[in-house]
Amino acid sequence: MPSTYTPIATTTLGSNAATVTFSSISGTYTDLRLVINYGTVSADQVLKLKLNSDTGTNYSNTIVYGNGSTAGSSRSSSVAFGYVSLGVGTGTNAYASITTLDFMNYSNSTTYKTTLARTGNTDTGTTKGTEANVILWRSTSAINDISFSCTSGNILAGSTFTLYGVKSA
Amino acid sequence: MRSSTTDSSLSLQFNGTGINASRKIEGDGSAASSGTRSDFYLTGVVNPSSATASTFSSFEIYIPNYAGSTNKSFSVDSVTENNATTAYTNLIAGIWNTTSAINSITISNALAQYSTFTLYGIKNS
Repeated sequence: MPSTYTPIATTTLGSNAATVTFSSISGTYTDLRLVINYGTVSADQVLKLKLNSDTGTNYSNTIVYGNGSTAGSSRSSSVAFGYVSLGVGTGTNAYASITTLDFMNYSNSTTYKTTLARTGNTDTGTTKGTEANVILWRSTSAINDISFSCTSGNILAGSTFTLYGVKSA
Repeated sequence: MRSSTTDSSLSLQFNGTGINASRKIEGDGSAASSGTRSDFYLTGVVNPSSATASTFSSFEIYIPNYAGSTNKSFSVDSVTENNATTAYTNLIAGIWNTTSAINSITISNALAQYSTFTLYGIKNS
């Protein structure tokens, strides 16, 4: 079977960190997939996404989530970051959060970019559970830089971030 | 997957031991709900024998860092569409509170003929 996922880079945090960044991403793939297994130093954090270091209010988010008792949906527009996950953090299982992100057609220079984020977290806490997020970045630039940070505090040492390139047939 | 019984759930084990907990959001086409389980069953993810003939659920489980030394989190996406009045889509977060590397995955149900299962490995750099 041909290889479809090409590993581009992996970051395993050796110490707590405020930001994780993948930079100088090649535009030679069709799509990107990012896989994260992580925790945060503080509880109940939002994991945030920025693309190409854009700090403008160019992101919109639509989210559906379930915390084990309640299902809900929320939306925000013209905000300064993408919401990767609403509820991650440290609890009984420090690395209970997992997220996959898909950046489709990330290197085109014609359209705005849409990202799908899928997160699971079974740790303790009311905001945690399962969620699916759609992030719109209103920029026609090719994505060449992806960074993550928390609402406050650091991402936990030992968290792993792996970026893959996916090529079409 | 499809069950030869009316049971639309399955049990999931790693290394011969059941998963410990899961939380999910479920949509049935008209409403969404969320629930928690503290056992090794995932519910509403298999087309039961009562579903439209020849329809099979689609089910994907993603286990990142499966060989790491922390407890193992995983996610499940499933659909049981069968062109009838009741079908479910589920997004599930699960955890197996064991730090061992996963070397065995067991999915149990009275599985019907023609159910298929494929395991892929994905390497990092």
